[in-house]
Amino acid sequence: MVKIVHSGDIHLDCAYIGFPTDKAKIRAEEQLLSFQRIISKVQEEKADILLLSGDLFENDFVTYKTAAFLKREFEKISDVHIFISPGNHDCISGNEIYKNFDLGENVTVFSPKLSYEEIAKLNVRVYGYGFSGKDDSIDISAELDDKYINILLIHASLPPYSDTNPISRDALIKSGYDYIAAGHIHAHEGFIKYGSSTVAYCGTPEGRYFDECGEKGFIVLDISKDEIKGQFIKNSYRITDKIEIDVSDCFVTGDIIEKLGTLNKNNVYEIVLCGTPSENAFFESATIENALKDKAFFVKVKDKTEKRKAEFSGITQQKFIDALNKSGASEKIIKRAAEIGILALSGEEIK
Amino acid sequence: MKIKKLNLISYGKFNNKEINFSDGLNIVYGKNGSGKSTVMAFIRAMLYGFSGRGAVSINDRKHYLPWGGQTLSGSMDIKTDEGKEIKLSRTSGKSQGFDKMSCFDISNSEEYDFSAENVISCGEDAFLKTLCIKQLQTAFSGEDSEISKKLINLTQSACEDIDTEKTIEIITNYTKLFKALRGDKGIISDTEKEIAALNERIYAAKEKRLSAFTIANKRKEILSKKEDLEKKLAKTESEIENAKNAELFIALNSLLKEASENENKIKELYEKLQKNEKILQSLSAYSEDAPQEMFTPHLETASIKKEKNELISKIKIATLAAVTLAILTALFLISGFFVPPLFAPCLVAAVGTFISAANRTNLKDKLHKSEADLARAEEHNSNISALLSKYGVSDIREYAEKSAEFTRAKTENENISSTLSSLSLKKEELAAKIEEYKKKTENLTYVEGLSDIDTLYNKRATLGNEISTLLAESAHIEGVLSADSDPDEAPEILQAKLSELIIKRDEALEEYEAATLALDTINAVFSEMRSDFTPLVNEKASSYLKELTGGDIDKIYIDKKFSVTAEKEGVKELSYFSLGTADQTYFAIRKAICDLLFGKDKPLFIDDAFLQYDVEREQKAFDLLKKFADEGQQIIFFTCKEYPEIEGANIINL
Repeated sequence: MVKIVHSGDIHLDCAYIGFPTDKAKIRAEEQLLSFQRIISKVQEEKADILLLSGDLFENDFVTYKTAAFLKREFEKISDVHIFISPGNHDCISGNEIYKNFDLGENVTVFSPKLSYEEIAKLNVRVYGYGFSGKDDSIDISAELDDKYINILLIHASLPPYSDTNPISRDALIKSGYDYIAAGHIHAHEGFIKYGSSTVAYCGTPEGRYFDECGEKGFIVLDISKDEIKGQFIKNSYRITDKIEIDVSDCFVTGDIIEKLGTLNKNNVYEIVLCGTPSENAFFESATIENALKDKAFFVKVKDKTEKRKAEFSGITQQKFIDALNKSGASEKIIKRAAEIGILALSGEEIK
Repeated sequence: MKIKKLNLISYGKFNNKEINFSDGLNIVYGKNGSGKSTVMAFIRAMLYGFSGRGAVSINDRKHYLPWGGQTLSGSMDIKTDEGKEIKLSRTSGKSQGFDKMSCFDISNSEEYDFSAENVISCGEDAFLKTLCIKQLQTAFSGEDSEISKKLINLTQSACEDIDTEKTIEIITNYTKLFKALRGDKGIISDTEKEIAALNERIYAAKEKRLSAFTIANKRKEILSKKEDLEKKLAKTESEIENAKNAELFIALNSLLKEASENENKIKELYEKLQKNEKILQSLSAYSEDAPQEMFTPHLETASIKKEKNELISKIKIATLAAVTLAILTALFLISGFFVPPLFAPCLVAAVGTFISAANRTNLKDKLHKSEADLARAEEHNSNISALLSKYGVSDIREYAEKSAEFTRAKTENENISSTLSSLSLKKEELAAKIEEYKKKTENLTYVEGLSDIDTLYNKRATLGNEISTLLAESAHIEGVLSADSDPDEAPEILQAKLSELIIKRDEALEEYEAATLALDTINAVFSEMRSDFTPLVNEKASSYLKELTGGDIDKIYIDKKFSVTAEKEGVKELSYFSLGTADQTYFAIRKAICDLLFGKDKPLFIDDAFLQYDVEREQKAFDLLKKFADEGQQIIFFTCKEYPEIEGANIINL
């Protein structure tokens, strides 16, 4: 059995949009720690191969220090064959690391052309394709030699996704690889069979944004020509959690805090307020965030509550709403224009 | 819709108070404080729920809290426009969220999905502003101009509180917050500027990051250059080492050469010494100084002999002369005796004879002496000859030469010996040195054709300097690379800020779009109202006013100046009319608007609107109300004034 660790979508040096600067800096540090955990796992498992399925870092922001960090980490596992298929965020054309920086002798970065590296003693061929930065359409078909354990490392949209570098279901089924190590989607969605191929997204090892909730991690595989045993390893330094809370019966911040219950102090939360609160309720996202600031690593409150339906309160208002609805503007704009208009009609200042 | 029955279970002062309404005109009579407002508030609360907001006067919870309990509770029977009779019940909870409402169809007890909008076709606000008509003076306790404004508002927007101008102003001012009418002011433009500035910072920060890689590449070059130089340095070091070895070899060689020269010299001198030794042996006879006499020269005998012979001759002559003269003297002496004068010559001859004799004696002495000299010279010469022969030399010169030769050889040999001893000392020294250098060079190889060691030293120094320069450059780069740049200027941090700004800008754009849309739409609505609705209100209100005033005023036209056209007196402004007329105008307009909005299906609630009316107009007003009731509209009239009996009216005394 060949032991493989498959990770990707690490996004080192990414921008923590929505985070305050101090928290963003902490998260950036923790991302490095999170990456080190993967390397530790490689050592612990005595893995033969480390597959990195793209978006290792972000071209826009990557620092030389990060490049040096990667090199040091890779040196720690100098006897492990490391393969990288650059993704859309670390595409080859957009960074100096893949072009001019020496990541180490044990590291192979695939170019924007399907090719393979053979590891004879493991009887493994690793095929890979590096994202060029342009809109790539990849043909993943190759003349595979069945003697070998054939692995494809790729950063792409697999069904049902299609946003970046899509690969069709048919192409996957026909491909014949033993394992397709995919990156791009930030959640591990299990090991899926396409024909004879086992396909998996490893997901991101560390949830960073509010749409990357729950336990994140990477994959450890035991693979032979006849058998694949895959395991998802939890790795998150912090877990991002999204809580939707109906605040229809809440009037003040305290009601919401009470209703939320206990939060995990280490976690990052997005708390989405929904429902239709009473017009007598008074709470604001900022005050809720402030009240929760010591109860979790970071809390972001999003107010998605529905305002009580603007009641018909007069012919002018009705005519106004009717005219707005016929304006052809987007629903969102119409909704807001209605609020503005109704407030102005009542002689109230607009909030 | 008709209100059939109220049951104020616990609301304000009421406890289980039932009130039944007829479908037509209902007059709720009660003195001040008897609960008219409470009944009106109860109806509103049944329709729209118990309000918990604002001042006590409109806060059901505070204002109508039952005297004996904590719960507001009641029900209201309604006949809907579809003809369904429903019972609507409400009970208050600890807060609005806990209020309970139930509604069911009275005929079959099935649940009825009640909403005020469906049943009465308007919200709470609109309900209060349309279907509930108060006395103008009660409604607005302001001045005439304020009343005019409300009436204008009413005709222009169907709502006395909607001031079209103010509405437009509020929205316009709001849009200006986002985009000023002139210049690039406002939130949108400000945010755009912030975005542009931030973008520049991000660009610079990213460039800085990229430059780190360039610098790192430069360092790589420097390090490889340094490596080359170090190789060269190592080579130079070995060359220097070789050169140093070569110096040893050269020194050894020169020592060897010197030793060999020394040896030659010794050999040469030794040969000379031996040669001299032979000379000294052969000339040993001459080792001492020659006897002094040998240095006396051979005396000259020939001249002495010649002198002797000459002296013999001279003696002969002198003898002869003296004899001759003696004869002559004798002759003359004799003759002088004979001839005295001849004594003179006799004297002369005597003197002559004496002199000659003296001369002869002198010569004779000389001769003796000369003969002695000769003998002595001949003896001397014979002695010398004997010495010369003894030394085997022909003369003293030869002896001197041989003696000198001996001395020379002797002296020379003494010198040679001394030189030889120093040379042999030197030989020993050289041998020792040679031994030393031989040992030093024992394991070394001699490399030929090397640069001069000083050149090599210079080369080494230059290489060393170049390497340390490169090291310094590399260290500087290392410093630059590891230097913590301002973390707040990190592009990802700035990017996060930018994203927030972009959201802010986009929100501002949307807000501006919404506000602009609201403004345009409101303007259009107002304009439409002015052209469509206002004339209808004017027309309808005019007809009611004509009835209320018994034709005194048959036409009402309210524009911005609130001009009212009266039948006889021509155009007259509101201020010319009495308060009563203003009240009647207000009622007419309110009723007209209700007609236009709801038709006659919804109940009309009138709160003592006729208090300012004179008896005649009061009668006309009730006639009008009866007419409305006859037309099928439910009228609920609240009053504290006891009016004469009104035919067909359902009187409720509180």
